[in-house]
This record gives sequence, C-alpha cells and structure tokens, in this order.
Amino acid sequence: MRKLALLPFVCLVVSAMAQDPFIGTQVRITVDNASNSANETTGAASADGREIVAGFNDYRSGGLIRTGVPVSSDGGQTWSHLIVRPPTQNQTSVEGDPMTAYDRRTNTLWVGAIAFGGSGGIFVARKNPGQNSFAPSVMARVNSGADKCWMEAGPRPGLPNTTRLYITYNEGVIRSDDLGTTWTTPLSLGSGIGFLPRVGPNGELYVTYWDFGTGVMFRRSLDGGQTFSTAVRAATRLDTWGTEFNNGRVPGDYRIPPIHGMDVNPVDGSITIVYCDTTNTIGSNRNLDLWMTRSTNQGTSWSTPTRLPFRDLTQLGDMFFPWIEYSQDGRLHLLSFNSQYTVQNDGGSDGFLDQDYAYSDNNGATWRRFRLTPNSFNSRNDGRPSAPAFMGDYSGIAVADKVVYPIYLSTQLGKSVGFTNIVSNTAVLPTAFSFFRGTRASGGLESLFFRDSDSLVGQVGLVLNQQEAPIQLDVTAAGVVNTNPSQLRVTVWGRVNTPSIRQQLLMFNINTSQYDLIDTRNASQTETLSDIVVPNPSSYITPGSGTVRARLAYSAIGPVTQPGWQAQFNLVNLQIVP
Amino acid sequence: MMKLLEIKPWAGLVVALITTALAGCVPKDNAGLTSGSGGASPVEDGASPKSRLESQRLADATRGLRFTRDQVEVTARTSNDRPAAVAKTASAVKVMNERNIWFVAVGAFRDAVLADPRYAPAYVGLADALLMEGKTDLAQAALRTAVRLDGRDPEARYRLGLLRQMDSDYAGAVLEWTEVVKFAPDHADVYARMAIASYYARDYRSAWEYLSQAEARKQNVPPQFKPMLLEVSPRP
Repeated sequence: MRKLALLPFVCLVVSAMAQDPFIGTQVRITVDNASNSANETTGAASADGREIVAGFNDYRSGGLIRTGVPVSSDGGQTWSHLIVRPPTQNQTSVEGDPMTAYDRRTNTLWVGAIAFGGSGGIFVARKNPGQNSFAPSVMARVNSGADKCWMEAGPRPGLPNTTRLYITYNEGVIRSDDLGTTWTTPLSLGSGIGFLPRVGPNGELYVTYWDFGTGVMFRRSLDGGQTFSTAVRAATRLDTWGTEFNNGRVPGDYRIPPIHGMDVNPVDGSITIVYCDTTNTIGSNRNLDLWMTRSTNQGTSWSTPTRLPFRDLTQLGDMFFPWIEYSQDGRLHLLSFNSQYTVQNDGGSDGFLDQDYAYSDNNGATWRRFRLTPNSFNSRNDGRPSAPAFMGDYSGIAVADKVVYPIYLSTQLGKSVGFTNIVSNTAVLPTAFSFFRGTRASGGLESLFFRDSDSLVGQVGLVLNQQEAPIQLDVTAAGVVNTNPSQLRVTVWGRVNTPSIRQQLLMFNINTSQYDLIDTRNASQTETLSDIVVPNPSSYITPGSGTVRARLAYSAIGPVTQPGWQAQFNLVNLQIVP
Repeated sequence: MMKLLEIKPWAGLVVALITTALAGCVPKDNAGLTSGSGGASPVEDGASPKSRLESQRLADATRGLRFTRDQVEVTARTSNDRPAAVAKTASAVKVMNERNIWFVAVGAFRDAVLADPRYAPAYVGLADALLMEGKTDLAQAALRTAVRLDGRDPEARYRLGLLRQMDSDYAGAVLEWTEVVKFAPDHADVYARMAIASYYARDYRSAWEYLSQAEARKQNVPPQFKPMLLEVSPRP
C-alpha cells in the first residue's frame, strides 16, 4: 500500500473563488474517554456561532449505546460531553440515530434521537439560549419501530414570526408548534429511508429520501407539513446497493447506505442535493464520487446530475456520506469521507479514510476543498468489539453565520472519536505589509491571503543592536468593523529555513502606542500553523479606521549556520469573532 | 407504464399481482439449507449499532421460513389458501408503504407466503421488505423463489438483476435482464440498466448497444449516463 505524501490541509484549487475561510486544527468534541466509539455525527449551531450542539452514537461498556451530545458555548473551542436520554419509562439499551436543529427566531437548539425497541421511540430535548444543559426530554413519538430521524426548524408558511419543528423518519413526518413540547401523529411519506426535512425561506417544507433502490426521492409541502406533493425522482443513481454491505465498493469493511445531503439556499430558494454513486471502475475497484442535482422551481424539476470535480477519473478513490448545509450568505458547505489520500484497493478489512470539507459560493458550480484530518485513519480501528467496522451512516455540519463546524468521526486515536474544525469566515486580510527589519526576498501582499504555493519570504537584515530580531514583518489590516469583538486571533502559516529560530507576535496597542508582546514560540522548519488568541482585543483595534497592526519577529536562539536565513509566510490574517 | 419505470420498491408487485402466478413448483433442492427450524438466525453483533436488536426482529419476522442462497423454504404449517395469500399480499403492500417499518412488512409478507407458499408475488414483496433492512442475500433467495414459481414474471427477474448489481455482480445482473428482455423487452428501464451494468463491467460496446435499445424504446435513461459513457468510449 502506498500512501500519498500530502500535507494536512492541502487546499485543492478547483477554481479561483472568494476568500477562503480559516480552517483551524482539529478539536476533539467527544471528550469523555468512557465513550468507546462515536459515529453518526450531526450538529447545529446558533447564528452567532457561540453555542453548538452535536450528537452521535456513543458506545458504552456493556453493549449499551447512548446518545452522546457534545456541547460548546465558546464557539467550539471547548466542549462538554453530555448524554441525553428519553424519559425513564422509554429508555432502552440502544439509543442512537441522533438529530439536531436550530431555530433562528428564538435562538433555540434541540437534540433528539431514537430509543430502539421496548417502549422506545423518538425523543427530543431543548436547549434554551445561553444554557449549558437541556430541558428534560419528551417523547415526540412512541414506537419501537421508529428509524432514522432528522429534524428541522423554520417558520410556518407565510408566518415569519412563528416556529414550526419538523421531524421526518421512516413513519413519515411529525411537527410541533410549541418548540418541541408536543407533537402531532405521523403523516406517512411512503416507503424509504433517510427522510431529511429542510425549510425554505418562506416556510416551504422539502423532504428527500432514498427509496432503497436507485431513486433519490423528493416531496414538497407548502402548507406546513399537512399535505405533500406526490413523490418525484430528483435523481436516478446509476449504481445501487443495500444498507448492510458495501460489496467491495470502498476500501475496508463497513456499510455505506447511500443516504444523501440536501439543503435550501436561503438567498435564492434553490434546492441542492448531493449524493454518492459509482462513477467508474479501475481494475476491480469501483470509484464512488459525489454527484449533485439542483432545482430552482421548488423541486418541480431537477437538473441533470453532475459529478463534483474532486477526483481525476484515472485515479482510485471514493467519496461517500456527503452532507451539505447552506449558510445565510448563500455559501454551500460540504463534508464527506474520502479515501483518495491513500492509494488502496477496495474491500479488505483496512480502509484508510479522511474527512474533507469543501465550499462553493455559486451553488456548486465550482468548489474549494480542504482535508480536515491530518493523516488517513483506518476504518478498522473504530473501537467496537467486532467486525464489520461501522463508520456511521452520515456526518453533519453545524452552520453559523460566519463560522462552520464540520462534525465528523476519525479513528486516529485508536477508536472512533468525534472531531470538528472551526471553519471561520471571519478572516480579515492584510491591507499592507512592510519589513521593519530584514528585506523582502520574494512574494507580495497577496501571498499572505491564501495557503497555497505562493508565499511572502523575508530575509535577515541589519539590526541596530543584538537584541533586535533581524526579521520583523509588520502587517496592517484595516476596516475591522467590530472594534470590541469577543475574540481577536492572529493566524499564521509559515516556516523558517534554519533551526534555532524563535517567533514572536507583537501587537500595536492603541492606548500606549507601543507594541505588546503577545506570543513567543519556536519557529518550525516545516510549515506550521500559529493560531494566536490576542487578549483584550479592543486595545489593538483603532476605532474609526478599524486598523490593526501586528508584528511578527524572528530571531536566533542558538547557533545559526546560514547567514542569510529566511522566514516564509504563506498565510497571515486576523480572525474577528463577534 | 411510465410509472413503472420509476422502480418503486413495490411497483413490481403491482405487476406481479396482475400477472398472478397460475402455477409453480415447490422448491425441491434442499442443499445448503441453513440450520435451525426457521427464521433467519440472530447474530451477536454486526454492521449497525442496533444490529443485535434487528437480528432478533428479523428472526421473529421470518419465523416459519428458512433461507438458502437460492430459495426460501417454508418450515411452518401452511394452508395453501390462494385467495388468502392474495389478500395478505395486498395488505402487506399497504403495510410496507404506509407504515414503512421493515420488520412489520417482512412479517406481513411472511404471513402471505405461509398462506400459500406457491404464490410468487408474496416472495417479491418479501424481497422488497427484506431490502428495506439491507438484507440483499435473503431478498435474492426470495426473488429466486418467485422466479422459480413464475418464470414469466418480468418484475421478479428484473429485481433479481438489481439485487445482483447491488452485490457488485454486474455480469450476473445483465444475465437476469437478458432473460427479462426475451419476453418483456419494454419492461421498465431494463435496457438502460443493462447499459449501465455493462459500462461498470467496462464492456462499452455492449453498453452502447443496450443504450441504443433503451433510447429506441424511450426507456428512462438517467441523463448523466450517456456523457459518462462518451467519456470512455465514442459512440460506435
């Protein structure tokens, strides 16, 4: 088996687009070590991105499965790991298939899941704004045969100041008009699985599902879930397979039910579906790609499916379990498993997988894609006691207005663990730079904008005394609107070309008119991320102009054999968290 | 006809109900039978979080039936009541569609099979219900039984082809569909399916031939298919 030498966070440029988000390093969200395995991840976030709830199947000792609920109230930096259960009389040994939802109007978050068997069914718990715990759960539906549910909140049709909650699952759709306290009885949506509800800008309810065959099915309700259109086939998959086996379509031994992602663009009301299908075969390997179809007329007709351009057709690889979400600005976010970073055959017990995040600002016409996992992880190491492995049937994305949290699993710690990366669209790019000490060897201002092959390179220069750093890069950003943010961070991707170099970050304090030392660390010879939180952010943002001035200083802390050593800056920007 | 092209899980059953099997043969080949007195065997663990529970549900729902690779054998006492089997099958279709709970649907079709083990449409429905839980191996056994009972039911064989495709047996799928077109060339999208399976098997010449047949018969060809085929093979 040959592994490709690809760096983590390799940005695969599909086409030039708007400013890339800043993608933070992995943050573990299933922090309770008593959790033996985590899968079927999902999540939702408040509009400001501060409050996040996630959900996953949480495998505990004794063969118990619980609904693990990671919660963050600081924008995904730290997480607590809760267990949410149904009322006592409805509890069972297997409680999973989590779902989450967020209501913009009331700023409320929910988590729910299914207690399988016994007197179980679908349970839901509400987290009111600003609270770190959930209200006691309620049963939305008591039925031991309930299966895979998803949840959505939105206005009732034509009534923007209302909230209606929907849960769709195998029995059909149920709804609540009192923030999840009471629920209707189910209205059947027919035979299928993976019923996924989404609400359009004017309260339109859209539901997609898999028909167990080749159909990606769609139904629409324009009266708040009371009646539905007949099912239409949004797309026909060329290949098909069952829920239990992958039959040699991907590397490793785990099931890959072809459940798809769907969402509504809040800006233009269009609907996008992304699903996986076999595109071609190379040798005995079947290659699964992500395919997309769209509707601009509320699902009446659908575009010819197009393959997302994430694989050269001559290369081996599979992408599956796609999940998509639109943010309020119309950006389309995608999360998917990907086996392409390791050259490997389908089948066997070991599947080396990664997680990719991608975004599109034009409804999927072009994309930029990023690898989230630092190395490929082995599907076999899922932490469960017996084969086959289980990678879940889906992943999720918690979307806030300016921050996105892909919620996914990885086995990189020897068992299946939940992770996220803080994907921040709050970056402020530099507007100017200069070398206070040292000289520019190559690159320019735009070299600092993207993490790509183009870097700004500085070389040691003259200093006035031995204490001065011989490379000092001054970076200025202007136009920061929020002069009192909750957080100001400076992010730098860079490296030096010799050992024994120290990196320091200094920030210009508008109150003292002096530079304050914020951070000191050793510089690396391999490109490394420095993601530095600046305390007291308002001290460094000039009111009116919104100017921020940062200085990156590099000096020797030991013998340096290269007299003309350099510092290379691939990306430098500010992150302004509201 | 166009509705049938959408391959709804139970669509074939409608056809099968119309073309009710007049006669069939009781499976005689007992080779390879699973052990036990009936029902699929529960397993300790498996692919999904709830697999132990689902295994028990499967065992309960198929009690009285025994599955081999090639057939479903009835181990319980049966009544050989054809009208009851027809009624129970129709009822099971409704249960499957409206309740959409796989083990309830499997149990309902099991009851139809037990009412008359020679009634082929009950096995087609049983296969659909088993497929809801991803039991493609058991579903194949059910469809093979239906084919044995009624060799002229195109839907059973058509679905058997789909199941063989699910198992990555593209050549086997084409074989099944080749049988379908012998007596029902306009059935559903069978030529389109043969074209796609041939494409996956990298038999592009056959893929083009089948695609031409599908287009000539105005069958439902997924619009993304032809561009894919053109990418690897020019049209002859």
